[in-house]
Amino acid sequence: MISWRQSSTIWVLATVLTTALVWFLTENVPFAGAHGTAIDYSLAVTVDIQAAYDSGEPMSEAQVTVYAPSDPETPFLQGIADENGRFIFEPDTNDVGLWSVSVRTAGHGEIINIPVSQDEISGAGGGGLSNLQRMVIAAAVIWGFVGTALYYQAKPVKPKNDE
Amino acid sequence: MHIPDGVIPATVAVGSYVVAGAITAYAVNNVNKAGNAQEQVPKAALLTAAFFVTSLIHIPIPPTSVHLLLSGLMGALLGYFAMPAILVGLILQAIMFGHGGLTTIGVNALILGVPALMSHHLFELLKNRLPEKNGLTIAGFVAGGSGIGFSVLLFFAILIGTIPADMLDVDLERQAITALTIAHLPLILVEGVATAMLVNYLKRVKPELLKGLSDARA
Repeated sequence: MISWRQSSTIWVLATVLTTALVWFLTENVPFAGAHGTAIDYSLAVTVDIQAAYDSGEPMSEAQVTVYAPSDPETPFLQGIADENGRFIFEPDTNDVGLWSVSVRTAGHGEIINIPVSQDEISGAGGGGLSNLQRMVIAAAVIWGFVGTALYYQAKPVKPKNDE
Repeated sequence: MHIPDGVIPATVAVGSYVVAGAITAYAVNNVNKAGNAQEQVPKAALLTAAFFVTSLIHIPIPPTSVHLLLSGLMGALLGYFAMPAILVGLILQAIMFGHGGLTTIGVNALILGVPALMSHHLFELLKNRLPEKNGLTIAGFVAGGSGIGFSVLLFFAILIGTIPADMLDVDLERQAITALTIAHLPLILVEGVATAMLVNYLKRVKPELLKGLSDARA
């Protein structure tokens, strides 16, 4: 048989525990010593720009200007890339079309166009030529110049006299 | 050190095309007047190939990297032929590798071509005035180095003068241009020494290559 004192202690304890549990669940207060994490997320379409020179060196602190398709004259967004040449922005997906992104530092840079539709951004772009492609192109052009030099260097061949 | 598309205003790009076109016409006219243009073609072709490929060779000069320009060397060895040679090299660099841009070929031709012509005149002047012993070496060094110095100066002036007012941080861009210009200054020494060594080498093994268009005319 539970006495009135025991019963009231149980009720008080249960009330305190329930209040603490509700408080923890609603306010997300971590227990002391627990490795609590708070990871929020939201779904958004973002554009990740990685700006680098063709030598592979990042365009540190390059200035980035983004133009929306609906108003290509007025910048939608301006910012500065980080020291690794990285810049991330979130375009307005209601503004469908080609978004122009200008990246510039020290008189070097480029303007790229990124197609944006209602729910996606078309693929990844850029990259340029591989080193092998560069070497092949350079070799072909050099051979063209060498050929030109040899052609003009060559002395005219005298026709052989049959007699 | 090639200015790409979209960096300078359209008026500057178009104006540069006109001026570069006029200077190229003047240079080609001088090449034709000399009468030995065909003899100079092999040398011009090989140096154009060297000019074309040097933009691929990056020399790390912290905090950035630079590539050889060869404007002084081209001027010293090719004379007026340097201007069309540089123009051809720039067109191929823009089309093949995307170095520079098609709309900025004019301004890039001015940045590299005009110093090349200046180096040509300086080389001829010093070569004939200085004592024979070290005259060629000094003339080569001054022509090679000053060509780069003038190119870097033009590059700096054009970029600083055309920074868009609506840029987010104009000072940051100005600092970046200044840093890039300073990084190119060691090239003055490098290309000056390279030109001096090359003209000395050519004098020993193939002196006829040092005979420019002006020599043929004389």
